[in-house]
Amino acid sequence: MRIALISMNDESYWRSCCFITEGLRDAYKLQPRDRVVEWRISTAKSHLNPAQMAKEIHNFKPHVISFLDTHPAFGPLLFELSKLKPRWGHYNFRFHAYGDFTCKANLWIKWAAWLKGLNVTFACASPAQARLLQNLLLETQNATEVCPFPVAGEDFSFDPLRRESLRKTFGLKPDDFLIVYTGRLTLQKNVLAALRAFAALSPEILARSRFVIAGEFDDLGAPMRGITIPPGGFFALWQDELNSLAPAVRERIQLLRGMPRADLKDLYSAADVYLSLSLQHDEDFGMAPAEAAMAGLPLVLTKWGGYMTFLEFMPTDHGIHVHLSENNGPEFDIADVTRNLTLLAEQKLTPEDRRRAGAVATAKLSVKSIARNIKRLKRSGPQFRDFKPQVYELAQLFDFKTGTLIFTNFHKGSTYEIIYRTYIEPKVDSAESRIKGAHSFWNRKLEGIRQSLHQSARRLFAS
Amino acid sequence: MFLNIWPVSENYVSLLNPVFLADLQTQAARNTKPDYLIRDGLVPLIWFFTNNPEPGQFKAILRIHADFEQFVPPAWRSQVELYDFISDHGAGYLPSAGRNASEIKQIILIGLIAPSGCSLDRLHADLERIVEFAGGHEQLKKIKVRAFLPIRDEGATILNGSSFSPHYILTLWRSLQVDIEFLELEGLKWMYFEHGTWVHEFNEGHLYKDSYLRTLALAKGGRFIPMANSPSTPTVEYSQVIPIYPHVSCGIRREFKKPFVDYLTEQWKPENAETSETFYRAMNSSANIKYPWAKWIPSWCKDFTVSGQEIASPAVTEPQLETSEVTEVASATPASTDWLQPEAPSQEVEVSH
Repeated sequence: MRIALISMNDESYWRSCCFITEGLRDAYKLQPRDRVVEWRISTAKSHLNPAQMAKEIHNFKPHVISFLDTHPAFGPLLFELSKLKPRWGHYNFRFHAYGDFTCKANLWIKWAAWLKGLNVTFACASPAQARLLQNLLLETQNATEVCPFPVAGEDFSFDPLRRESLRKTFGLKPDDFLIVYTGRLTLQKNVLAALRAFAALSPEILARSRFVIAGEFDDLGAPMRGITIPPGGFFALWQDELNSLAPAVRERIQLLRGMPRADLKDLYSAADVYLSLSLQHDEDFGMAPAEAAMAGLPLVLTKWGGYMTFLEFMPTDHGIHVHLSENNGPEFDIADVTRNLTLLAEQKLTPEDRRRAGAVATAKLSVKSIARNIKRLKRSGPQFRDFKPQVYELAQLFDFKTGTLIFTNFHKGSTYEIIYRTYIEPKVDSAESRIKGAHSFWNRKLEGIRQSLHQSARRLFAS
Repeated sequence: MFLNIWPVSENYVSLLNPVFLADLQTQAARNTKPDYLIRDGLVPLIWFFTNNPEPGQFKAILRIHADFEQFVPPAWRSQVELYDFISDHGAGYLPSAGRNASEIKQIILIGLIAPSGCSLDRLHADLERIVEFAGGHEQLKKIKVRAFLPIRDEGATILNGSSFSPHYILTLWRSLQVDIEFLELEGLKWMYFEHGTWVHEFNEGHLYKDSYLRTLALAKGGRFIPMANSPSTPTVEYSQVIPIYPHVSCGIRREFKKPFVDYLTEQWKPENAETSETFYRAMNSSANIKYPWAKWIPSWCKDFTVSGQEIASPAVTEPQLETSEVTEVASATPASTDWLQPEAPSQEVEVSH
């Protein structure tokens, strides 16, 4: 099969997007027996000639034209490609959709006119995102597929030696409990709520706990709720929150900078749990939880959007239930977070437990694994009709000043609720969900035993 | 002015109440804050103290950048504190063996392309220093050079003509002799400053001193290229250190160590050549020529009242300088020109950071 990859040459402003595109590119290039050629568009080039590029792609005769991200610069190329038809009918367009799909509604509406009648599929990073997108497509079934973002570059597998060394540097004893958060320090990631959940731990657990937070501050606020923060604003909120904590709690919180991935790997090995309470509107996946999962770290995550995917890797469910408040949008209970942290503080994982959990995540998220996933993606999708009215409503809600959508109500039946209901998991009894989680853990254990028996039998017969 | 020098003038949240002097009277009258952090450069500062040689009815504490210590009149010193921004750029990382502290992986240039921000002479001198810091042109070619340098139009003047911006960019190319990746503000804000990122801000300190771009770069872990070939700075003892931004604190000093450079009276005699040259350069710069400081920073402290009461009409006092209209070249000289002998200063004077 011939695959034409389209991507931007310009580095994205978002660091995680750079890793994602790099990982997808690597995964495509691992396709056995497929010929993959990439075309990169640069906004800096003044001689951008979409017609010429489209012709080059047309001459390549690709079976699939795959867009690795979404950028306005793709528009002219898409327009030219939509006019070209191969001998076999139509090109198959595959778009790797990101979490900001809804924020780019006006872009997609423009492109919809060119995509009508063409075979289009959307590769989404998580089942939640796939459901969200499928619900936005008019009269089209099975146009979305799940293709998680690969974790490329670093090997995040658990390293007991680095764990011991780094914990010693932090002054932690073997039984101490280290919680980490890595990622942007911003309002929508609910870092302040994470501080409160940590502070609410029992004194006995707090006495042997540390919360390490590594990342860079930003002042994005919560633009979808019309909340903007001036420069320095979130840091001021952070300082206020820290100062409101008791000194005994404050001294157990350590703020680190954004760090290179090699250092993140060490941090995940040293930690005992990864905590993230994000309710970001575009949380279609979560690169940081993915990396932490590959290190075998137990995850305490909000059951929101793409985060729900990672909770399936864990033997027990420590997801935090999210509900939609009519006034404020998605919310969760901080006590739920503290409860889950307490459970994990009393749990003792062996290095073997960590390796095993990490192997499960690696089997699903490594570049090789995603390459196999890409191989299973549809070669041809259904004909694109249009987007549903909600997408056109989203375009109306776009605020050019803040560069994002602004929602003013979240009640049942509102545009927000219709679109983002797929990002929330229906609440189930927590005991039931733990049993379900334990069930799947034992299923995997049994599967592991079955496989090793099978291998032993093969060796026996071979000899 | 604030729009013209955006984003260096971007307002940021801080309990230190950062303001520009042109806005101070309005802010003070409305907000009655006990203290303000003055973001201005030397030129507006001199205008402020010239028109307000004494605090009068204005009681708030002003925090002024420590580089301008010598320009604070004695009558104000009990009401003025000196500040500087400190970054913990070495802290907040995991200990990593083998990380070279002096490694240079990328250089980021920030500032405004505007005559009142940085003159071409100063630009040239700074670029020479950057090349020297990088280890020469051949070494610089191995380093990624990026820049956020938006152009700000300040109009054509006899001093700068109408081609300041093209000359500025040409000087950049000729001095560095490398490809430069020009950034947007969003790119700078979201960029990850990996280890080995060094920054330089083109800013003579005449128009503004507390720059949002500088604070942003410090918060992201950027280390600033040392400009002066001077011995290591002596340790400063601060009376107070207040976090103002991620990994950036404001160090406050209450003790004045340098005497006042008396530019307020006709008997002004500079203490030393360096200070007089600093003053001379500032008052002859575009920052002084371009903006109507007399109108923007009048005399108001003497009769200051808070909002709700009538504010006395500002009395404008010209500083002891011969200044010109905005569009004409001025050679602002103090009334007493004994120290200004026919030969102009022949060497670049580093305005201290």
